[in-house]
Amino acid sequence: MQEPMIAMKGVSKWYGDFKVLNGVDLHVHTGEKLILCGPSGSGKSTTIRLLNRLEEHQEGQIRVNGIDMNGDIRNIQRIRSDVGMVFQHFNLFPHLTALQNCTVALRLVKKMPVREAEERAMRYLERVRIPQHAGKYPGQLSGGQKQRVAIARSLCMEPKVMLFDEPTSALDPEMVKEVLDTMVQLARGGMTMVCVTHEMGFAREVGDRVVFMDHGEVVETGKPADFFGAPQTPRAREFLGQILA
Amino acid sequence: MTWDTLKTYLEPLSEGATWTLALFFASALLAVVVGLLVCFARMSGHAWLRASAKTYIEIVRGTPLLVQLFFIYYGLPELGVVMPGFPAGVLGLTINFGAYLAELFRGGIQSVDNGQFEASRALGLTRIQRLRVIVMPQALRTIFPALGNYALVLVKDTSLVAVISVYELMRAGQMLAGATFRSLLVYSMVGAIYFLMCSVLSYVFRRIEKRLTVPGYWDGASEHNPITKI
Repeated sequence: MQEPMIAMKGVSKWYGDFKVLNGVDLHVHTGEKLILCGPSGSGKSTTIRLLNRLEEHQEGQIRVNGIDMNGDIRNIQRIRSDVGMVFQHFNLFPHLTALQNCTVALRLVKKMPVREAEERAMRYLERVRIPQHAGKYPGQLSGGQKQRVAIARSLCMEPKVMLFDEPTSALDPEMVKEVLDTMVQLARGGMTMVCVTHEMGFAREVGDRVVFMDHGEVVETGKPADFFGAPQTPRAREFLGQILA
Repeated sequence: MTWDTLKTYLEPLSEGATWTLALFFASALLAVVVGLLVCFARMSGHAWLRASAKTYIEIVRGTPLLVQLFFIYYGLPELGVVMPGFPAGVLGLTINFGAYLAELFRGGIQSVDNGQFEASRALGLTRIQRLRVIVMPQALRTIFPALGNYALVLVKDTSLVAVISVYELMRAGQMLAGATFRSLLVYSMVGAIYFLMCSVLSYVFRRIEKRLTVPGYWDGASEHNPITKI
């Protein structure tokens, strides 16, 4: 059988004395859409931030696309070029236009010529349906537009996996849909995705599997319909009770 | 007083002003380099580098520029380090302003949102690319008004090196006043020339600041302006 795109085995992490992750095992297969959910402080964000080394784990093994995540800077760079990430607060570069936000890494990391980089960037800005804003600065865009630029910026690098860290949590309600639509479209295109999100509709529509975390541990895993319909553990039931209330 | 008198006075003063400009540009350039290096040392992962940078900054900021200049020009020769006035002046100004700029740069870098570092790491930018393309351009915009202040202060502080017998505008004024006994006139002219230089510099900084402005960010007219917003 083919090696999973992402394999975490017995991963633990501490902040000082505080153990934030406790022996997390997680596999994501190519093309799979994994939904990570759980209460605040459960370790779900930390988990996906380990997958491109925004955080370091202290115990256990992480492999992404067959590359070992260890201290080796070359491995980290290779993994980062395979993994795109979308943040809750967009983190667009405010001094660069939407187009430049998309081309900057192509130019610097992939050493692509300007013209080619701009063509590719425009292609992805079209895919997220905002080519008309290419020349604008982030400060001139709405939250939903910013997040779509951020998605295009990640896609430009043509990653094998996309990580989403609560991509709609900082958005006004009326802008959530445009971002989710973009993500649904991406999912249908076959992208491997790991999404930290509480958007149940999205999770049900595109999620292959839901992983519920609490206190730094994976508590329950299941198909979205099963998990949301009939959670097996008391902690998951309590959590769903709170967010659906 | 005639126009001719003014012209004869202006001649040594403009020669002095040329040296003032030379002092300014040399020290400004070097101070930016020193400031950047010390700032990186101050923020480095090596404890001894951080400690040295901190010590340097504290000593320089805790002692008067005048004392530093005397130390370099009159003190160091006792240790066998002798240098002419001009390089001694540039060295003193560089050491002094380098310390202030290091802290200014650090403040600028630390003002850049953590998410900017994360996004550029996630995109695979190296540390140097991240600093050069993402962090520094944003830090520069934040510190720019303060940087303009330091530039003006530096122009005026070059006058202090007159005391270590460097020939520049202030020194030229002193010599002229001594020879003519027209102190009021001479120092008015000296002051006017400093004012002119500062005005030009201030204008240049305003222009650059305008060019650095990004719509929707750091633009005085925007809704982010906490002063104009009710």
